[in-house]
Amino acid sequence: MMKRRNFIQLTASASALSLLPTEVFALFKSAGMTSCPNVNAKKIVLIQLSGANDGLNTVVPLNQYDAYAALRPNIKLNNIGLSNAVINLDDTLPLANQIGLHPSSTGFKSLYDRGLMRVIQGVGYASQDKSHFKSTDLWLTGGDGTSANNNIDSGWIGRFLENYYSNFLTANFPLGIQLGSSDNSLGFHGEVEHGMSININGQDPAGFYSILNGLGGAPPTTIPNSEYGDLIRFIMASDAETNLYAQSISTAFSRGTNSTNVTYPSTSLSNQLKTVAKFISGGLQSKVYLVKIGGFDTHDIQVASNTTTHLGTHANLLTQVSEAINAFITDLNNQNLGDDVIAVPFSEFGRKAGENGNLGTDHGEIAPMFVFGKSINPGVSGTNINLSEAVSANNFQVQTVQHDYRRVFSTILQDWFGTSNQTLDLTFYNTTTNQGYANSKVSNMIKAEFAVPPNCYSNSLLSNNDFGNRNDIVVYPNPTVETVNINSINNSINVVYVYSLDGKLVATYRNPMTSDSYSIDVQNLATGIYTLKVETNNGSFTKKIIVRR
Amino acid sequence: MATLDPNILVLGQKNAKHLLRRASFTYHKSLIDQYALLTPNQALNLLLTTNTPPVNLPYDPLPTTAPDGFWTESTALATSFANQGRKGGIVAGWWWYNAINSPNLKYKLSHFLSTCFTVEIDASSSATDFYDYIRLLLHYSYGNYKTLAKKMTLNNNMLYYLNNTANIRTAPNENYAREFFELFTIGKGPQIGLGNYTTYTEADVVQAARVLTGFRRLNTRTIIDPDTSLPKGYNVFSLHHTSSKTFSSAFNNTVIAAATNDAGMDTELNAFVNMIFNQQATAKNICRKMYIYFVKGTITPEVETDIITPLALEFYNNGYEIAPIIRRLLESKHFYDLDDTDSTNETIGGMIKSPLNQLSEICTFLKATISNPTTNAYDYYYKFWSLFAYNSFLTGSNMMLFNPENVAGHPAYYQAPGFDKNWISATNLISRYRLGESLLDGINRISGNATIITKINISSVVRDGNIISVASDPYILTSELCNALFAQNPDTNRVNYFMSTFLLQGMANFYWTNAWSDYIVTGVNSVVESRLKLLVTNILRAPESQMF
Repeated sequence: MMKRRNFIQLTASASALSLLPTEVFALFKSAGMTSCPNVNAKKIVLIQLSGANDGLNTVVPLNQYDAYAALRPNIKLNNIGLSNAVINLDDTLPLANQIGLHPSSTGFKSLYDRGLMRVIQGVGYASQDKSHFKSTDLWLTGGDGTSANNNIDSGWIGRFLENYYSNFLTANFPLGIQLGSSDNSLGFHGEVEHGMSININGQDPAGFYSILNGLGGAPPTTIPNSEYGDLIRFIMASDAETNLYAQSISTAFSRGTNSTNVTYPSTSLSNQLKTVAKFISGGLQSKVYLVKIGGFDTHDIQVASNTTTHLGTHANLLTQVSEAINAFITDLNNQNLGDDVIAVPFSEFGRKAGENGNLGTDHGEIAPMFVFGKSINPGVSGTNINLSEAVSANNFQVQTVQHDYRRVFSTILQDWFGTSNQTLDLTFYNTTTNQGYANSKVSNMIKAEFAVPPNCYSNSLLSNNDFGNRNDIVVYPNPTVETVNINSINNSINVVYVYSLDGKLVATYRNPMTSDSYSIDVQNLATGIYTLKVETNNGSFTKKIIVRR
Repeated sequence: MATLDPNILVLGQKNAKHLLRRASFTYHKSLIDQYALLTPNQALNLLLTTNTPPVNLPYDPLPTTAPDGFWTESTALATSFANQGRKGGIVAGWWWYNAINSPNLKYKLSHFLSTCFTVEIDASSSATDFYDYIRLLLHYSYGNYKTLAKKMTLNNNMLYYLNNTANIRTAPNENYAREFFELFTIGKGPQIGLGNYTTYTEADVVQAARVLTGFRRLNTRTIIDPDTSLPKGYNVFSLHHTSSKTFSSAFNNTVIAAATNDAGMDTELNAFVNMIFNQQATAKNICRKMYIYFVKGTITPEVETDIITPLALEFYNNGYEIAPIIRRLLESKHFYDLDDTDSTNETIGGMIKSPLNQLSEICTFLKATISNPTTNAYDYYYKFWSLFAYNSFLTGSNMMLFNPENVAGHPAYYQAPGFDKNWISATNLISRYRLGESLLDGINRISGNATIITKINISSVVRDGNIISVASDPYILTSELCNALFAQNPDTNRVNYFMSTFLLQGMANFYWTNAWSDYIVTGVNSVVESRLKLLVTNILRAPESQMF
């Protein structure tokens, strides 16, 4: 289903309601009126392991070590008791479910022992697609290999943001932030909204705004009604949103810190997560972070040699990943920010149970997932995968899906973020089976004290104050029905231009007086989101407003 | 109704600009004026020619004390040279210099082919192998796509990059087989069942991997393909899978007999490639890629029916010859927006420029003084190309030339639904908007402020370069610059905006006329240079400059 995307021209808007929801909830709570937890500060950090991580050498089913060794004579990791062996995750697990972690994952082991990690076994989706690019797209769009769920053109993150945070769409901070790769991830494409996320890979977050400010130049006032004109608007919108977001990003980054008791290794993933921690610490209110590390497509030389399988490409990658996540979670906990963050690595599929001839593995299907954070219930969901599935007739693959990946994300979105069934269904929905995921969440994943009870689920959150930018103009009420009051604090307002989402100028208001406050009548505007451009004697300011009836 | 019917009218300025931008990396006023007088057919006759490339071989000017020089010609092992990454970049720079000095389709086509058969410089076996790969693409730019697919399978760099050199019968490696189907030839259709992508299945990938066993990279580059005069890999029958290979119903259950010796492996490979190219779906997939590269980032159902389908049929029927097909596309009414009066589906101005297009257009139209790699190799390959164009501008704009993030290539060429819109993102704005002023100043304004040796001496160019008819008239000057650098001519208001704000800076028109005539008389450009720089910088930053 193709939906035309509307491009937002973005501005910040100050809410007329000056109380933060935390204050509102505190008031209610003190009056005994509700015990719904405050979810406004919650954030999810998605870690994309690009290339298809070999799940079987990440999580070795110890109870089937012999079968494992038979499938992987040259790349098998050493059993417990030998040197450089797998790490015994948890000897209190039932024998049939004992797990050996890759010896590089000391960071994971540490997190598990501190009660900050859960393993989800056998994650995948129906009808596996073994193309990197297609399967990555499926993971990002909430699809699977069945024909009805195969060609979704919006991302699940995008749908989640545009619905659950619909009241935040006019904020001056980006709802999503991407690092680690310069592509504009499909995951963030909303069904309707554009520009909810920003990719700042490679930018210096502190200086970004000052360099970027005004770089794009003034756009044309007349834009032809044509394909060319559409592209002009697209560029203008991209420039505007980057400018808008850049300021909140730069400010948060400069205010944020990393815990002095944590050493982040100097690796790509670690640097990305260190930056994310700094944003969170600096008060940036973005809800979803997507970081990325590649190199997992280990068709050859996955291990250094058949006598040193604990070394090599895969080992180095897992070292990078486990150390980076360990540093990140520890940093957040040290700064008392750990309650609000869950980190989830994901990869487009696992790799074949049987090795290939080049000390590597080819494309596979299911793989384990990990979830990290203070809110996570430590432990293991599911059982060890069944290696007897991997036979010549099926090209040595393990195929049984214990947990559809959408169940894992849905559990976080509902049990932890508090999304209603309605919004959850808009985010993840299986059109083949005609079912949502509210009734098939992964049990026991979220700790009770951090879970949102069903009576507190909501379709979308109330907005709160934007990240403070006190020096420009105030616009209220917002959303509005028919009047918008603009106050520009000691600057006289000359003209107000109103643009629709796709960049068309729909109204112009000229202030007949020299005043710093001016009211405009918008009752003739259709409901929707508009950009106000307010020209004063001291420069122009842009704000977004919502007209509602 | 879109149509491939040829446009037989004389091009005129607007269509000449459009054709030159899409078909070449040489965007000169003199070429525009020449092509404006031709019909598309006459223009394509010129564009489908070959010139002698100005620079015969890449040259490494480092280390300065004892440069590695023409290292690709050395008989020493390619990997014995240090700094393979830098050398790979130098090969890209050699290709680009020839591209901007070759007013024909060859270089655009070779770049297009690199988006079909993708490698990454940084993941190549050696810079020399990468150089051979580029030469293979150039060799087949006007040639046969199917033949190229066969030759690419034996290309040393590709054998390494997608691991086929390690694909042996005792444990096949599926990497190349998979990408051969998915990215290089037939492409994926909708997933209609378990492991079934309509055009091929997972089982086909397994069989294909077996066909491809035993082809090995030769690091000494001593085996030369007589057809191309380029180094190639070789066949090792003892590593080859010796049973026959049976393919799925997607290929009519074709059974390919196994080879019985080294030479037989080529016969088997041919049968395999022919099997794939006998499917109409292969022709369609390649035509779609060509459309997305040369025409527009969206293929509407109308375009699929009226352009892609007939084009693919021609491509299939002519045996996969590239030149007639690109000619058909670039001569068509559709390409010039002459097939309907609907302005919402334009081709002209309907695509966002890639960073490569941006760099090439600005440097050629505005006559940047690019050092000659043959006489000034250090200045060209190191100071300009490596430090600025390749590692600063192209990288910062998220288009590392011939070095995309992975084998799928640059998202602009494959990632639906945005395609070319993927060139615009927060990460590359700074690079994109600071290219113009970097070239105008001769200084890297994207980062670091080092001198880049290359410069657009804008005053001299306007005075002597024959790109402006009446430079003393500020309106004519501004409008001609806008018309040249924008995808479509802007209106009077827009021209006035640029003229008043940047050239005149609020002063009256005669101020410019006087300043310009002072410059003509005295040769001192201090007054006009700063204003021209400001004007051109801002024209290049305008959204209208980002499309073509």
